[in-house]
Amino acid sequence: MNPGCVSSPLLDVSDLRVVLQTAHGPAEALRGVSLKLEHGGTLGLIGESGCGKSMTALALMGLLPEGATVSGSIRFEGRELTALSEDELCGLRGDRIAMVFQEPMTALNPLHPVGRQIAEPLRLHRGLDAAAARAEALRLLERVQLPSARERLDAYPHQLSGGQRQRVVIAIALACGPDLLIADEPTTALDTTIQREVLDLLDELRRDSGMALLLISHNLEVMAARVEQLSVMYGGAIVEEGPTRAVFERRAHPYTRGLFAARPRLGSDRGVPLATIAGRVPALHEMPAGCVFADRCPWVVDACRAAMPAAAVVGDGHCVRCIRWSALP
Amino acid sequence: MSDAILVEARGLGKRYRLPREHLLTPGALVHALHDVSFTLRTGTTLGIVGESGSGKSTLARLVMALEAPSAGRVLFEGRDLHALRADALRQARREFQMVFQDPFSSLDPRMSIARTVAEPLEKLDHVGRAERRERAAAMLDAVGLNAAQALDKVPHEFSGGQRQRIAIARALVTHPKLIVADEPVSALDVSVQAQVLNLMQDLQQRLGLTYLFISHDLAVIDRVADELIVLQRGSVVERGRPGDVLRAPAHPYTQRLLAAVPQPLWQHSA
Repeated sequence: MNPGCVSSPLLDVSDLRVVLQTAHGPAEALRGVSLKLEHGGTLGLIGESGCGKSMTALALMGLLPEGATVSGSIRFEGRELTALSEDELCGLRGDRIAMVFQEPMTALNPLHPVGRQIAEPLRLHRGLDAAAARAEALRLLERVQLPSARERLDAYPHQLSGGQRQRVVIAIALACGPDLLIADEPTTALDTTIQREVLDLLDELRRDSGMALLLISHNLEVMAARVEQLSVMYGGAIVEEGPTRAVFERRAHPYTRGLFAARPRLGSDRGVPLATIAGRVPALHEMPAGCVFADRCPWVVDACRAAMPAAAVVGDGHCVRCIRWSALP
Repeated sequence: MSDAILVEARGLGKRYRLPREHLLTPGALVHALHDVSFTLRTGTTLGIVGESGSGKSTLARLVMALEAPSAGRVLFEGRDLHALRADALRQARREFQMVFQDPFSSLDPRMSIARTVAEPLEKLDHVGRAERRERAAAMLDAVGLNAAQALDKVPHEFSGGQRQRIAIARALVTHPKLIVADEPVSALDVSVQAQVLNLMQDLQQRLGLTYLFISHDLAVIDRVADELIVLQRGSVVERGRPGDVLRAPAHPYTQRLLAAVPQPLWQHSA
């Protein structure tokens, strides 16, 4: 979607399409997603349930559900990931590309002490022996600032709080020093104050290690504070992308505007109902033919239903898929 | 609205005993709630703010008479809920209902929507099948769902926002005066959250409902609550009108909660 970009980014996804087998027949879950992420850069994917954020992450990790067909290209450090075998992908996952999931309790194995779970990628990818892996696991727990790390090596996940568990998940992800960290709603299950601590930790680790961060969230405020580049997803497509600040200021796509207006803000006038987006997210098999947002858009015209709008340039590195963006108030 | 007091909590406390770790010594005591008092006037909303483990949900369970307090009383229209006999309590339950956080786990996946919404009537009012279905349909209409289409479906055919509307319809079917809502919008997407918050405010105005509204989201509480209580480790550390408390928080814990709300610096318009 963003043509004139810098050469050889860390991650270069172009026109990624994923078709899933559903009860209603094949349905397109991703409809031509393109992303670029530089070494050490930060990119946010924002959108609501069912927009394709997590599907994008799973496609990058090669973890799509059974029967999914992928087309388009995912280039990571110049290598085409869609062409790799499962064995080759296993060599990348947890090593060069790591992921942090939303729910640390389900991401961790309840039957193994956390130290052993952190050591696993080190033994697998780095061939460390048990003692060396354990020593490295301790160093990682200290690095994610888990209090009394040495005692916690032998703790089981249920003995830790939600925030502590998420620190362990981050330690596992960082074990091999990945170039790309994909964090899918990493703080959604946590309290607000813990949320900030975990996001601060991710920022700090990223600055220290130079890894790139792909942050997936539905939370506007989190995005505003944490990522340089932002892509807004809706209906399996990226409808707006650009520098976070430009996207927040301009809000070129009607869906971006709807998201902003719906958010309750401190000190807002409670006599005025919150703005809502009419209708609801269509199911995969009932996506409209043209613009995916057409059925819910207050500014829709007939031409919107003809075809998915091409990317229009709004500003420097800022693009929108809307034929009416320049006419919006 | 009116000045009548609907709920009054006096010196509420709750202690739990943890499972024992040694054979001969009893498990440790946890003070989940300590000396919490408030009055809730008819037609108003009391917001409860705090983090996991602050005692918010324990407070909800005591007000709903799902658990007995270790200390203090809950007066509902002047009657001590926890002193009521079982049959009187069951009759009183029509007056207060609950909406939970997760509309995916709070609805029985195998039960039709008609039965889900009408279920409270089976125990509380001895009304016939046809009337139960009729009242369920009326409630579904009231929460903005198409009753004719929804009645015979099962929960998985609905989105998260629709399920939360169904949960609200079920809570309203006995015509309660009080709704205890425990994080009712936290599991919902931003745009759906707005729809459900608008619905709850609209229902409050139309039906004169009283809410005990629990949330960790200060912006949500600021929007819905007439008064708020901040709980930390089971105790009230601050209380007042949301505008006052959130503009000038006095307690360090409230200040910390407020500071943790990410503020996009350039989000001035909209």
